[in-house]
Amino acid sequence: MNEVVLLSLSGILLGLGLYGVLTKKNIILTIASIEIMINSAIFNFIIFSSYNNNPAGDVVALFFIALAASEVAVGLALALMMFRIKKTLNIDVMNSLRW
Amino acid sequence: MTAYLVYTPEILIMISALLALLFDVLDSKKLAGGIAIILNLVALVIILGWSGITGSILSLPQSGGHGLFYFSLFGYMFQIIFIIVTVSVELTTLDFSEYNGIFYALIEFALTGMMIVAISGDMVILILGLELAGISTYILTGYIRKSELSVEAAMKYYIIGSISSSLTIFGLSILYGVTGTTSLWLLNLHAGYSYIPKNNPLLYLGFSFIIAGLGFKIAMAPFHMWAPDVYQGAPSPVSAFLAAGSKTMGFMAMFIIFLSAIFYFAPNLSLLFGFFAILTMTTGNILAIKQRNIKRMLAYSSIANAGYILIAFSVDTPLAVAGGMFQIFSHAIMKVGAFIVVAVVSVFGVGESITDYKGLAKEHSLLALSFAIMLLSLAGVPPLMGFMSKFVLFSGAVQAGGWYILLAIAGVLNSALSLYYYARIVKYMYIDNPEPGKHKNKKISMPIYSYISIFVLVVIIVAVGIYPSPIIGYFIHIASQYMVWR
Repeated sequence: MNEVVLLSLSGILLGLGLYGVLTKKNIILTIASIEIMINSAIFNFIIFSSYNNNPAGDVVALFFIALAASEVAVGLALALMMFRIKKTLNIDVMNSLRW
Repeated sequence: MTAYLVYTPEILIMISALLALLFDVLDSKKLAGGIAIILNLVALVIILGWSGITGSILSLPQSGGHGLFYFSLFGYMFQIIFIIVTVSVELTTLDFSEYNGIFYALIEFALTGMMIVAISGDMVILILGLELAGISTYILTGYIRKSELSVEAAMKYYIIGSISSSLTIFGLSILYGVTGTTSLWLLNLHAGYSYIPKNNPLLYLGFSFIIAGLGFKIAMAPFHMWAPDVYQGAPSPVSAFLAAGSKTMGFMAMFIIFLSAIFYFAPNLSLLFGFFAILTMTTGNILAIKQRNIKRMLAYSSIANAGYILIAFSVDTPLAVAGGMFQIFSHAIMKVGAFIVVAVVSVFGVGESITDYKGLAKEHSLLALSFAIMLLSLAGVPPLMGFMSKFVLFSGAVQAGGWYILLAIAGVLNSALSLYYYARIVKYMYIDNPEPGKHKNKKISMPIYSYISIFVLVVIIVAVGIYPSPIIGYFIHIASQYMVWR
């Protein structure tokens, strides 16, 4: 398929993820949006790997998939800690640190 | 077998992390911390030998590119900074009962990540190192599980850190797409090849993503808002580690990417970095004046220091790069010392508000003296280390001439501005009387390990300030080698 179509798909994914991080009130949805952002970058590596006929990009993508998984594990653990203290997953309650 | 000798420091630190996990199960915190410190010091001695400062106890490995890694004096210098910072933080936490073996395991894993970034020669290794250090520090920030502030800081740091790493990965993927290689030390050859269009807009899109991603890591001005929240909410020893270690790692990644891998495009980015340098130092210093919390104030001063260091990226001559490295070194030492003092005085019942420091010199004269030395050094008062590093950095900008002189002028004016909020705390400690009932004077055991680490840091600050020529010479030597290497 045409690279431009695929690249715009990964750009749309990045934008969707950023939109989710900025607007979603639930911490789980924020973490999911961050995952979408990382996946768009991984997708980019795969597209460019086929475009350059160079397998390095595919290997990098495998590494980064594992990395994204470990990152979301820490994020969910932190969400659990936050729920134990604040009794809610709404991100607006995190307002004791400012200025 | 000898091929693996080059990784000895990283392997030693990895072993110390795993041993700390083991001793956490056995519930012997002193053993975990002690073994971690000893293995770190062994790694430090080995690296000091390789970097040519002392005699070498292991034979020097072949420097240069090894596939995924690239060994150079530049990387060894940053590894020395990371180990000094980590050992100081670990010595301090030996005095506090709330940190157990898992703390040392996490901090050693973070140190492993930083050491790996220092020798990275490939995008994969760079990102894996950044993320290993990043994920460990997210957990460290939320280490005090019962504390609302600590958990909130960890959550904020996690969200911002993950966004920054995804932006960095996105930028690097574009760089890979245009140049066709993931190797950073091959990239500087590839980027000079004629078949790559020099004005490819896609390339500059990638650069802007990387600047945004790493700008979050180093708390550059438009991306700095997370830093005060996180440094305030995190436990003080962890704040010391973040301000000195994590920020240094971000700068090192920027050095590796912008000044060596894609150095070909560095002149085109010079104006952008100059703009960010002035914006960052001014924002940090102006916002620091208003702060009432000591940790927030130190966080904003850390942002201001990031602005000074960014001058090196804009000017990009050997003297300015040497000044930038020297400023990174002195900022790491001074900031880790200042946060350790904040951690230690909190043991004596002194709060985090800056008015709590009134009359500190009457009760804890040694702590007040070392805190005053660190703050004055951060402000750039001669004859301390902070003055020398700023002097080399700004003289690098002046020597380059042209509009770079503006950067030096902005830096000097900002240093004068910063003296206000540093000197205010020194005045509180030495001239004002303590507010009645503020210092509770709890009966506690003497934090002897913290005193050792504060003493060593103060000795480094004063000694380098009084006799700076060897260390300035060494940084200029590294910078000139670094410029030749690329």
